[in-house]
Amino acid sequence: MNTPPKAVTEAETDSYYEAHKKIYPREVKGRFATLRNLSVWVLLGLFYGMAWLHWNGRQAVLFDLPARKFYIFGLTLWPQDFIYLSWLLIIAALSLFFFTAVGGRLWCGYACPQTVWTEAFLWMERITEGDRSRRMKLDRAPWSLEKFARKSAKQALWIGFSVWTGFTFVGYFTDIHTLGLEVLGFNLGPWETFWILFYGFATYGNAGFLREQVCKYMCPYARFQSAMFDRDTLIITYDAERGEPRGSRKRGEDPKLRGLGACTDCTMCVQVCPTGIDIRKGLQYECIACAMCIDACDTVMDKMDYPRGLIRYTTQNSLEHKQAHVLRPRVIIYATLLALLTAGFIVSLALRKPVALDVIHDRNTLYRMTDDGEAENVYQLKIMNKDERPRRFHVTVSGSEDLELEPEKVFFDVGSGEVYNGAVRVRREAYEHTGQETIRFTITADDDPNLSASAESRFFAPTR
Amino acid sequence: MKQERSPQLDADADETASQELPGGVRVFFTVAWCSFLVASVATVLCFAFVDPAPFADLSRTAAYSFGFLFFWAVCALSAAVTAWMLNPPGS
Repeated sequence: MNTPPKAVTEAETDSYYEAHKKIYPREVKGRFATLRNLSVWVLLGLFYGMAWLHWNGRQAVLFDLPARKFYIFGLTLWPQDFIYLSWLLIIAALSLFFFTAVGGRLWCGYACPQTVWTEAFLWMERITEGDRSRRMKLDRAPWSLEKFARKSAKQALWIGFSVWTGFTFVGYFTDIHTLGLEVLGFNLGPWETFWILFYGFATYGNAGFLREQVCKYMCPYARFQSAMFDRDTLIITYDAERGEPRGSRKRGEDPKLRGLGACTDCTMCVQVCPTGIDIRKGLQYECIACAMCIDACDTVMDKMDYPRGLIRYTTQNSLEHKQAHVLRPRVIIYATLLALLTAGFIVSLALRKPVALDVIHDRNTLYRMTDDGEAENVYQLKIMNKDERPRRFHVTVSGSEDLELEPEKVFFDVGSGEVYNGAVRVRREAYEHTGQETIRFTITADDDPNLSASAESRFFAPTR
Repeated sequence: MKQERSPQLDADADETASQELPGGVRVFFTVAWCSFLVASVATVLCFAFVDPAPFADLSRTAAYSFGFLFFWAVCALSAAVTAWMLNPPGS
């Protein structure tokens, strides 16, 4: 084939992806770094610790998938309670909208698992490979025994931590003590093994290898968060008015004499940035609002005896010396919806009955005629005791006046968190005109008359 | 770009290898990642309403896992076809 050489058009080179450069974030100390460290400790502590908590003789937080039951402390949720899970997710999404509208990407900077685990992985990288300049030097250096030792130590820590993370994750879905014993006895099931390794691998890949690329290319929230922003949303910005023209100077030298602004062009803000941007170029979508540049810049400002806040949390409006509004329609609407949904959630959870009843009419025969000339229907009762303790329930039936329950007094003992299947028979005379009717079964706890549930079913009989 | 940067930054921007993924690999990861997200949601929705225990001769854990992998495969297939169709011949 004779194809002419293709002209390189602009579209072909206009890739959405730029060549990836490894970023070496410098460690930073300051107010916001302390805040984030606190958040990392609390969140990771919750994740790794909560799995081991006990409550009433079982794991306190267990999403028992094999048994299709979710335990959250005193609460047991069944698949029928799926509405609560969706409700909770809607509340979570709305909270994210609300906090984004008010405080910008607070989630990204302090609470996102990607940030939290990356911090932990960075810490392991620092203790094995050293600080920023040492890490860069190490990567440039040819392979040596020391490089090999440092890199292996880092990998060992990372892999160990990742596997532990995977183990803990799976421990929220099957009992973590049993899982631990299975690991120690080398008799872990194939799927447990698969999921531990899968989640461990995801942790390693995201926090050790991909890092800021997750935020830049993979995160859906990062793509739509700007839709919640307005000119009164808190953002992290460089005050160009105060900082420019930037330039290096000696300590104690009056920048005005040299026609300089407050920025010493020390590039600390760039070196600490985990996504590798220069905040002085303005707000960029890569910025995860971690505030490390604020800490770095404040430290330099302190050293220079300049007032802090050359890089700071502020809003577009106040940066432009305009009136700032905290309460604005967007915020009020999000807050109102959030308050309503949360209140509704709490109320409905509090009023949720810990017992449920399902009645299924016998599938095989509609009715049977007894020797006494009565019509008899058989029902399967399915009683769910979602309570924390076992209960005894008695059954009553209501419909036309002369319905007869057989056996007359039925008790069902249902253990905590169990489903009980029991059969009852209902009889009555066959009437002149009416064939079928709707009847209602009610179960009531013996020790608590307020604890009851009822369900309807059909009663079938021939017309005489 | 370069002239805007400070001398120290240029020294740092150094010779650490910049790696650009080839287009095919990029499409593969995009497809895998997006279908993973959707498959996770689909798995939760599906098994919230359907209990696999009566239908399959498997433990529930195995059924959920197969369910997830199945959803992932189907979603990935859809995403891959979409990615493929986005580049009409001759473009």
